[in-house]
Amino acid sequence: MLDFRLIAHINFSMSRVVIVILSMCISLSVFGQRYSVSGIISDAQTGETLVGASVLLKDSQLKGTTSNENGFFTLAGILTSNVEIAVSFVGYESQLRSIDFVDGNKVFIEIKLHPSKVLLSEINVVEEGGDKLGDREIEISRHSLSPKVIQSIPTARNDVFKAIRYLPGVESTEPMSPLVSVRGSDPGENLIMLDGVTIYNPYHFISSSGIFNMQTIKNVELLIGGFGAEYGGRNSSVMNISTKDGDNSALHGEIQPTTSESKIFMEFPIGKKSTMMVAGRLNYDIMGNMMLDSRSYFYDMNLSYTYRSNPRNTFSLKYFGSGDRTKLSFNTLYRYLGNSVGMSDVFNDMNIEWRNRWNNYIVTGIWKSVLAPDFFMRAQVYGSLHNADNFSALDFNIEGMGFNSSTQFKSKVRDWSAKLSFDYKPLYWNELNFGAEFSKYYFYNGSAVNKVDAGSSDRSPYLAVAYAEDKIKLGAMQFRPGVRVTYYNNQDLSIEPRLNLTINLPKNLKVQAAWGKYAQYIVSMNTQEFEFNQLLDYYYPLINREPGLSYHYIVGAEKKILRDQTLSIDLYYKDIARTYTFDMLQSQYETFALSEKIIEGRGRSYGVELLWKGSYKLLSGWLGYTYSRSTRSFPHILNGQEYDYDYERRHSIKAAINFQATPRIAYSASFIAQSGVPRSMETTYQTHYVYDPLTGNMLHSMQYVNGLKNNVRMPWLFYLDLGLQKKLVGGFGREIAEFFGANESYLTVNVYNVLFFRRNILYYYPMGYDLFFPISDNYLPVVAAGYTIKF
Amino acid sequence: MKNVTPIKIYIILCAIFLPSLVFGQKWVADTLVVSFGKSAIPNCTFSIGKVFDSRSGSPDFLSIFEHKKWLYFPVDQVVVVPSPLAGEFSQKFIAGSDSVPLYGVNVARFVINKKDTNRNRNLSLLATLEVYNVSNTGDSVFFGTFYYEQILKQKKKEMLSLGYVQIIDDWARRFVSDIVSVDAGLTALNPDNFYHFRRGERSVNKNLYASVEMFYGFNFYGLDAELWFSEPEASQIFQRNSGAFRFVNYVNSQSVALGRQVGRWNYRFSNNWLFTNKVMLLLGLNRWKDHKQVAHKFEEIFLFDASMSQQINYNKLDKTGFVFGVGLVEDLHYVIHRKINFNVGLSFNCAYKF
Repeated sequence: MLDFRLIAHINFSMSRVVIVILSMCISLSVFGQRYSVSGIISDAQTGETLVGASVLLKDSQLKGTTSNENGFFTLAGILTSNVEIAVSFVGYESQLRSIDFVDGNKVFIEIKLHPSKVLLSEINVVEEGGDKLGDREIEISRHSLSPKVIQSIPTARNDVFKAIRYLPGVESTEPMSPLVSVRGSDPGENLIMLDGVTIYNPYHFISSSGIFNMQTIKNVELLIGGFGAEYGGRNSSVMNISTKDGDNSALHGEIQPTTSESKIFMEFPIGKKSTMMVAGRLNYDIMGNMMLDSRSYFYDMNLSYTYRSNPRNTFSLKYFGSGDRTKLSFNTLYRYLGNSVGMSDVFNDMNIEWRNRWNNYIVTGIWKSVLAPDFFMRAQVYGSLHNADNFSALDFNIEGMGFNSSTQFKSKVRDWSAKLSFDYKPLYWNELNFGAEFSKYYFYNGSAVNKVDAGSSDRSPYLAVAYAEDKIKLGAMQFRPGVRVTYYNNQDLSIEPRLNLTINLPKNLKVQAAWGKYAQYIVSMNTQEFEFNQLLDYYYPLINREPGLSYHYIVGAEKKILRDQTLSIDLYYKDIARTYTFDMLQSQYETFALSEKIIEGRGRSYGVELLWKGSYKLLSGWLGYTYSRSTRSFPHILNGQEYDYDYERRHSIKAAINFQATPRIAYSASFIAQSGVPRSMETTYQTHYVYDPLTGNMLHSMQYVNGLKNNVRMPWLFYLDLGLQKKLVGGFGREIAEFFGANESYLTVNVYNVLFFRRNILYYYPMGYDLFFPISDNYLPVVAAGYTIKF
Repeated sequence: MKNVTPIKIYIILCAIFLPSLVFGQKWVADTLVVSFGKSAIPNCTFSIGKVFDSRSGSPDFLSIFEHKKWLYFPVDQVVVVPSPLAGEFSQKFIAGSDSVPLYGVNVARFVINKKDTNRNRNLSLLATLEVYNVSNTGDSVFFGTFYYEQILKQKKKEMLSLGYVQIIDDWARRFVSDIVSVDAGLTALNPDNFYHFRRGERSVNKNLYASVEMFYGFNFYGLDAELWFSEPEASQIFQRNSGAFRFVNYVNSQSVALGRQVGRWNYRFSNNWLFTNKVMLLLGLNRWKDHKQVAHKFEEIFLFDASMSQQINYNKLDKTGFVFGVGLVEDLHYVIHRKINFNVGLSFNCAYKF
């Protein structure tokens, strides 16, 4: 709880912030009131709000804006009392609206755009390019992915986390892990939100995929650096996923039954003012069940209820739940293989077992209200719960001697939060965003070794945040200063200033820059040294320690080179002023029991990202190249010397291409070529001798010894995947769709690992002196087919 | 980077996408226009007046199928008649004189499907036609419904369009003969020849069957889950295909298997009773219950199965609802390194016919 001393401290520190905010507000009033129009833009058929729709004042190309993540826009500073605005959004018919300011100088309108009848030459999976006006120009290092884009990437179909790996600056940490590293940071430094709710470890174990069902997703926004004051608590990136509210016209949905996974999605109206969205996915591992004698499955489900009391007020209640049950025992398969190759004795006494139970539950209530035509409010309360229980065991017998080991790591997160944000835009060139958040947490981490409890601990910190930022447009220049103030668990206030800048130059050239200070109190640490494959983040609330701290410096430029193509370059430097890692001298049991033995260090990362995206005739997609460096230094590693960070991929070339051959048939390809990550490779081994008094023999065993930290770099990785999506015109699939009155049915065929002849090496297993056995994940191409009914 | 350089990768990508850029516009679905038979049927003893096409979709649509360009890329091939099918129908049957009976037709279904085998192609015409007697005063009286399921085998080297023309002509001649025969009351003399005609009954749609068949033997039990479409019956003996998922529990193993082309040969005894012989080939996986005691090999995971069943089903003609059946099942399954196993059991079927 806050005590008097702390409140006094807040008042003192806040004074500077208040002055800044007041000066912003005063600047708004000095220039007086003119006419302003605001509104909500939505799909005329479904009622779903549209994010990023353009609103332009006709006959004045300089004045325009875009709808925010709530579909809300404000166009202020209009000089005449009778104007015409043009509203457009990719895939929709543009609309002209005349507005008369007869009853006042502020007007609120509802705009419903009708989906356009798409011509073949207009099918383009890439979002609209650099001709957008408005606030989003300020966002440097921002990527937006629609479900259509994600579905066009063969490898990423239906998974957000696999799709974002095709963007520059976003790299996979390990091949079998869903975690990603953004611009050389730790995966735990990424803030992942579902409808504004912070979600912890949103991954499934089987298939290493994300837990978000693509059918429910409206838009994915990814900010990979330099983000504004609205977001915080993480040092590296922000992923904001918004889900659909439901269709207000009729029942619509999709069904995807396959042999490994089935999905259903439905959206429908309830009465005249309410809509609902229901979705579920169940993945069942038939092959694993038969071959590994396993019992594994996962599920996730979404439920959304939205009530629109009037055009200005919307209430939403959303639920999300997911669970993983994994029980993998490799013994059966090993025994079968051993019997096949005549080595049954070797495998009969071995047991490798893996049992995981993961859960995520989210409940949230959201109230969006247009309090005044130029004043928008969003209020939200939520609970986000996460449980993880990972057990692994290795038992084997050699010459009558048994080796039995097992580990179990448990983690719980409870996050109860409330958020309030406002968007006030009295002038065309000025918009104020401000808000506050409060979170109460509970974290539990514990471990057991060889089925003996190795300790645990739990903590319940709280966090209070206030932020404000002012978007100012001055001619061709737009800048957005902001500040975020965090008060965490009786510690000193953290003040994080941020600044974004965009300058529109002639010839469709845009120059952007961003700077910001970022603090992180809820950290997760790299367990790459402890785990064979880090699949989850274990979250640690820092208590009585300074927060993790980083400074982002980003400059970039974007040029529209053809009608539908843009070329952009981003240069970034990230000063990681404070970061933490485990004390390598403590046991891993202490580590996972939330031990205080963590070591403070620092690091930096920098790089350049080139991205060419757009469309040409029937082709659309992007091609990107990234050069990046990332280093860390800790006093207990290499005597404090800088070393290459575990997730650094120096060169990375990525492409995602979609070719819409006919209105019914689309081909796609995704390609990644990236340099390997640094690894600490065993360079020598020691032999340990033990005297056995019973036999009088000397027993010996070998132990491999690491050289320097990250002393070698893994080889380059190449991935090429091809995909086909075809609208069915005949056959059983089409007949089933017709029978249920569905509008469309699709067949998707993906061919993964086309470049199988060049084996991607993921790990090296030491086999002896200077001898390593390379391990890959896919040795042959894999063909996967899916079927979708859309109604 | 020893085997493949970025240049090679670039060449592979170009090889995949360059042709699409160059030839992209030509990939738009092809349309094949075929005439509605070679010529009109002359000297008909009736004439077709009003024709109403109640099919959904394009009025000139006849068929759509997928064919491969360059052996790989699927392209939709749409087959249409030169003008709306209703008009083509009227012009197809030319009356020999003005004083012939006049009929009206409602085309509920008229489609020609194509299926290729190695050397041949099969064209199958499926039609459901509701026929009306039209009086001199213009009043129409419902006559009955005809169901057609006609197959034409054609060599692959023959022109596809000729196949369409021929199967339409074959059907048209049969239709003329049917109208005349039914009108003359010949159905009573030889009812088997007019199985495809339902006097006074409106047309029915094809049915979707969702079926579960349980079987029990001396040392095994299991179930088949099946889903298939069945066109309205156009003859007393008819064949349908389904896809099946099977679960079997044997003494020392459990198996799951899939069969794609499950053949169902049917013979209808009466309006309520149907005999079905089912033949299926399945490929599946075994889970050995005794893997801790017996040294199974990896190859023993795979199951090859051939199965037959004969059943008497309570299945009402042209009616939706539950279907029940009872019969025998014979199961022949093979696992590598093991003897072929043969089992016989009783089977019980419960399905819903939508």
